[in-house]
Amino acid sequence: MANRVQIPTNNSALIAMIADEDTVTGFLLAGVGNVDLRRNTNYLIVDSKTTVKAIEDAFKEFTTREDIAIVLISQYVANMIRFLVDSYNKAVPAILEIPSKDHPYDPAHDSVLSRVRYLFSSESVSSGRR
Amino acid sequence: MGSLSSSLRQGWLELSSARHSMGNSRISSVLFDMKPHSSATTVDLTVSLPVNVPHTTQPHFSLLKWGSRGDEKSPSVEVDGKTPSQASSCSGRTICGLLLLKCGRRRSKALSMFGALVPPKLRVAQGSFETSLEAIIEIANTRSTILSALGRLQTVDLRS
Repeated sequence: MANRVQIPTNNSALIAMIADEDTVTGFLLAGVGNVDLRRNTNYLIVDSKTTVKAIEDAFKEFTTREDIAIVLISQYVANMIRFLVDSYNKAVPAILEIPSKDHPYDPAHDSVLSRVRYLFSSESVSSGRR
Repeated sequence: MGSLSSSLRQGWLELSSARHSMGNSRISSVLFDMKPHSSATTVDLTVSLPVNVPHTTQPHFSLLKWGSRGDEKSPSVEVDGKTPSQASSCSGRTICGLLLLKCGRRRSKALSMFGALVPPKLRVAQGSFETSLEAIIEIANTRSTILSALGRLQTVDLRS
């Protein structure tokens, strides 16, 4: 790619998941599951008994681990910790909101798309004022 | 996101079918492998630094499915320091064959947490979720491009 310097940083980074059981099961079948020597996993299964604190703790843990490149989070789970997800502004790990079985994806709630909409709405307001 | 939703829906449906044929207790989170093991499918992360835009980085994600880059028909991981294209045609085919065997073993190992004999629907569900991962990597790279562009726009906005 012209005018870009490529730096390899991590060639075996993990994908973390915070989602319902079926979604986590499916991605584990795809080979994404990782368990370290301390029995820490790269996923959290969210069900009706999972507390918001547990989800917040898992999100904070996955976004601070250096071996994780992508965090998949079901959008309905992200809505439970929306403040935390929207205030996350690092490029890596990438936070991707995905649909779940019972909750289809809604682009209006997506963190990144909300930022784009906000930027363009503020741009149009400021250009209107000029 | 449309292709991701579609492949996920397909995967959930196939998983439900497999659960229906095997029984709820046979496909459950209780059976997940909790012994220490490393992930077979990982992500290769590269960060690019645009030369003309200082202080910005853009990560790029590549999927290493079952330890191989690319699809199972054209795996492109090195074996003994050579890629299949670098090796001679004969050993290149051997390398491809070994890689396919390796991928097949890892796939079977992932399925084996639900038993030695699994229904075909579970294997199909595995394929659907693998397809979902490819869509996820595309979305991650698009997100990375958007965030990088947003950062540059905000920098330009601050200067003006």
